[in-house]
Amino acid sequence: MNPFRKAMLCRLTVAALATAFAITGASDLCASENAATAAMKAPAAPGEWTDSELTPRVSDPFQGVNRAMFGMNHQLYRFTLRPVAKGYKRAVPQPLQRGLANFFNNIRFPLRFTGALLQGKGGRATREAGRFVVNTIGGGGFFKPSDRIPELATEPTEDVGQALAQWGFGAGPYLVLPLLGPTTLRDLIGSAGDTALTPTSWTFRGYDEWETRFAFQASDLIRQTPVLVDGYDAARAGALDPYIAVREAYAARRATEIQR
Amino acid sequence: MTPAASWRMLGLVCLVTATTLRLFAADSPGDPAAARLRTAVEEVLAAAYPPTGTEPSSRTDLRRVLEKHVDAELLTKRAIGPSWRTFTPTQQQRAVALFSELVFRTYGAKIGSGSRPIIEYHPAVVLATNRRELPIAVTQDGKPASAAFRFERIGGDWRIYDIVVEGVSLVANYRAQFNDLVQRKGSDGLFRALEQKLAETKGSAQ
Repeated sequence: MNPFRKAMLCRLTVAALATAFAITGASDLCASENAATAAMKAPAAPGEWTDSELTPRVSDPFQGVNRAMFGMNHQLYRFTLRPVAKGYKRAVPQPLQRGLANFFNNIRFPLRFTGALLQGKGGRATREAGRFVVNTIGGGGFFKPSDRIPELATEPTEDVGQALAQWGFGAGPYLVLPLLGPTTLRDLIGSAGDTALTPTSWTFRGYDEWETRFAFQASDLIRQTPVLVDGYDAARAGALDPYIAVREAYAARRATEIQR
Repeated sequence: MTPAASWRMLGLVCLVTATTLRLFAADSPGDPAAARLRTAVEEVLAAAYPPTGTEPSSRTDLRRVLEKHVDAELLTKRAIGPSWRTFTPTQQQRAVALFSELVFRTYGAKIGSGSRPIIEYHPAVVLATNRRELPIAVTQDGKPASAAFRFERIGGDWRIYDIVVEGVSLVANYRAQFNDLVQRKGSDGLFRALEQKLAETKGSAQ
């Protein structure tokens, strides 16, 4: 997650928590996902649709505001994110790009570890710890020697939003935030926890000057831009209605991350 | 519970879980679908990424292989959703022609790009009596991704009706867009939107 998002999410957390329970009850929140899972194996006539396939993945009561924000973000991405991504890909050699991605992913270990523990995935948390130790000692975080150990093969990442889903909180309304893009109320709340568990947002000796923190967080944001732009373009590709295409892609991808 | 009893219980749970998973896996020697599904995916990938030293496939060759395994009518029908039943046969044919062309132009152009991916096949999953899903793990340019091909048995043959990448189903994504369009603008609005999109993408997969 980028630094801008982190800062804004901290401020929004209290308001979001209050809104979460004002807008929808917890049982309501999880209804659609449970229905989708339960109907997955329901038989259907040839060529027909199962109930789960016709169940909306995410509720979108603020579609008017969301669409306006989506249009504004599209222009922002076009004139800021895309040029930055292009410049980064051109200026930074591939091996260094991979090294930086490994480094920033490695220092996010506390988030993945806690995310796994919060969901009761003790085995995955243990393997996360194993990968962190091997990659930190064996590669300084820039290399991933853990990939050569079958028992420590890369696994899907965990976060607080996924833990909230496992605890029974549904996605809540779909939201498009200025600059930050698509999320749901549950993921917005989870993001506040993610921020607290991400070391680049911490303050400690040697990492308390704003210039240092800014340099780290900006580097992390910039190195993510090609991935963000590619993901955004892939979701919009061939879309008749890019807003709905991106919304459905976001909801489907999150549902898969929660299931894994 | 004593430690020995705990281990026995754990063993029992593992046995039950493994048996249950096996029941839902189609990749058993007794399931003729499993080999057929894998052959279809291998043929598509072989056309997209020919073995080193051989001539690269033309767009026409790739399209022929895709058309052999992907059921355009089923793909369109499932993407449009229950509104399909309200279409006349002529409208259904028009929808199939427009949508399959859009899908091929949008995604066909991407198949075959980048370095040859490393594919790892997972056991097929039974979605329903007549439906299977073949998950694969793809590593391309050092980046891992997950994908799955969904098949339905039509007239005794297994045909692809959906492709799922990182949990995002092509058919479900379009269905959400089509539902909204049909509700707001009717079937004519849907056809206009498809034609407009095709006009925008003209030449992208030639």
